[in-house]
Amino acid sequence: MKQAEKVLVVGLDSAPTLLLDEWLPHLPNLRRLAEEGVYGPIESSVPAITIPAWATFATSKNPGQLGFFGFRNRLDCSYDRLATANATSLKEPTIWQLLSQAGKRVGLMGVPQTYPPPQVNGFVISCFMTPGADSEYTWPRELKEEIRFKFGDYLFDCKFRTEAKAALLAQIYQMTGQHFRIARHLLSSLPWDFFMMVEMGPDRLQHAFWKYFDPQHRKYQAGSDWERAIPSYYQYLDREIGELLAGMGDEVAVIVVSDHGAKRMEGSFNLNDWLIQEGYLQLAEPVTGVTELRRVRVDWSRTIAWGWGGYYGRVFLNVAGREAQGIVPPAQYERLRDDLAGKLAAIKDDRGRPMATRALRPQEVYHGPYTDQAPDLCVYFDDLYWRASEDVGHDGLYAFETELGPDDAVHDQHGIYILRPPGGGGGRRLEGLRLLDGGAPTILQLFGLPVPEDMEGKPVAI
Amino acid sequence: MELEKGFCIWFTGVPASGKSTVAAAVERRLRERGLKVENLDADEVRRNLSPDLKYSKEDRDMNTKRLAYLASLLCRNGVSALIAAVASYREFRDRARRMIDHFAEVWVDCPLEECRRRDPKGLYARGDRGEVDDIAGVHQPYEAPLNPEVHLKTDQMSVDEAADLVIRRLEELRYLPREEDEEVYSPEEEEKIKRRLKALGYL
Repeated sequence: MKQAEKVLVVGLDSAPTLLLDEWLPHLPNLRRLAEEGVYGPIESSVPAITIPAWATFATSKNPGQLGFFGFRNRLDCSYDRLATANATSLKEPTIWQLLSQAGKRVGLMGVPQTYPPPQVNGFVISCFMTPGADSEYTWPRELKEEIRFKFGDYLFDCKFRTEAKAALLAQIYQMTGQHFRIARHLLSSLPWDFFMMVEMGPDRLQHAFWKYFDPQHRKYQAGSDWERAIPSYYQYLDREIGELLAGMGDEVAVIVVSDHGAKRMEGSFNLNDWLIQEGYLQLAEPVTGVTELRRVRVDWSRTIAWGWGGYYGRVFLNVAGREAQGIVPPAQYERLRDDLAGKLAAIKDDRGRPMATRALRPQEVYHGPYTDQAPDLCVYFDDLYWRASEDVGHDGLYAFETELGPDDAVHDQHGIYILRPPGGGGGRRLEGLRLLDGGAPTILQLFGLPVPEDMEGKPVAI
Repeated sequence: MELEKGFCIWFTGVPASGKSTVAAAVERRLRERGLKVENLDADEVRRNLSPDLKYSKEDRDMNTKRLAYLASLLCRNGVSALIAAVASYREFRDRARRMIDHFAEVWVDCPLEECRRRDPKGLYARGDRGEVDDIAGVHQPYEAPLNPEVHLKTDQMSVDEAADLVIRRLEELRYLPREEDEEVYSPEEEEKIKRRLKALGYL
């Protein structure tokens, strides 16, 4: 393979495989990259969530090696000591560290888990996990003033749970537009060999607008003003990517990648309410109305298991000798977990139809020193079509509206991957791609640098 | 961006104590953080600037003076300098300290038996065969530092551990910005982030 002089990664958080399967003919810039390179659906991490997925891309390590399994993680076996994963949680060497060590000039923008900004050989604008515009969110620090002077306060994110759809759509375009303007400025004004940006706009847009666009969605509204909001936004993204690449020769390798895909949300399954119903979770006092689990007194002396929610469910067993007030005898752990996994897999949806639920044991999906710190079960309700809610006190096990506001999409295990290597790759569609392969090892190989042996992935074969 | 002054780290110790190895590991870590660094290899500088000098005290004096001068020029212009050189007399190192604003002396300390065992350049072996008689610590005195910024016992730690100690000390000295490895978020920020993540559906 021809060696790349530079590598540019455009991350589109949550871009679905529909992009490759249906939209590509209408996205001239991405289509050209695919036709000149290789492309295909790419398998995310378990769970298929922004954290740990981008970290898997950046390190080629699974969460059992990385030590985090989502945005928040338990610090110990107490019930309430948690930490939010951030840049300092990344202990495995990242592609930006490895390239910095090799003397390459590295630029990062909006890449999840880069707050606080890592001190790379180059520049960083951190991600949406930055507390606010007052935080130190750039490396070097002086870059922040320059960005603020030229572009105004950096737009980290937007709140998608709103019925004010027109205003939200405008906000998403404003944010994405600012990011690409800044990216063009950085690439033209600073030296770089490797640049990676991740745009969160696609994820936010899909959560807010999926029901208008997908006829299979429960809440599908045909002929709405927003029917084309999602495809139109991807056409806009395509133009922005085209502009970003304008003037770059084909000695620059380009990767367009998503950390996971997206699909319609069927609903939200009330995991802890179910655990209460089945006798696994005992509250010390009754709750009135929907309440966050952390605000409720749990009777740990009688609790066997409790759960966390999100786009996937995490279930923890209250194990004697491990948890602070554990009661599950270690000798019964495996049997109890198997029972619970079986019951979770047998849950039917609100219409009494079977769900394709998978309750994964960490030992099946992870390997590495942190495997034992993973949740005892990682639950994909109906293959992720249902999200999980950890709040208690719902009226029933299934929810379709949340007190937080609307959300219409969930994550899919597969995202997209397009790689245009220098010299081209023949436009082949590849199957079986993994985030483990498509990130760090492939990028190192593009630069002609050795791939460390402990990376789990192999460079994508071009 | 403002041009800040660089710093100079002088790795001192007897031959084969691990000076160059640790310096190279520190150099990698500094480059990783985007710092401009020059590793002034003692042998290379000798070859280029002082081919006339040998290993008498006078020659060693002149060689370390040249190294320190070179480092001071680099530091003044925002490039940090790493020097791995025996600099066997205290006065040589103290002079360098006076010449450079941000200076750190790292004593790369290793028992002579271990240095003899390592002997990567075959210097001790040549000494034993009588081919050289000017090895610091064997034929000539080596004055160990009294108050080094860092004291590394390289027979008791790995190269990575040694390099980490040096980096941590540079952070303490404020020569390097600290890598924030403690609490990243204040309790208020943590709560704010939690609410945001919940609103985003992640929790």
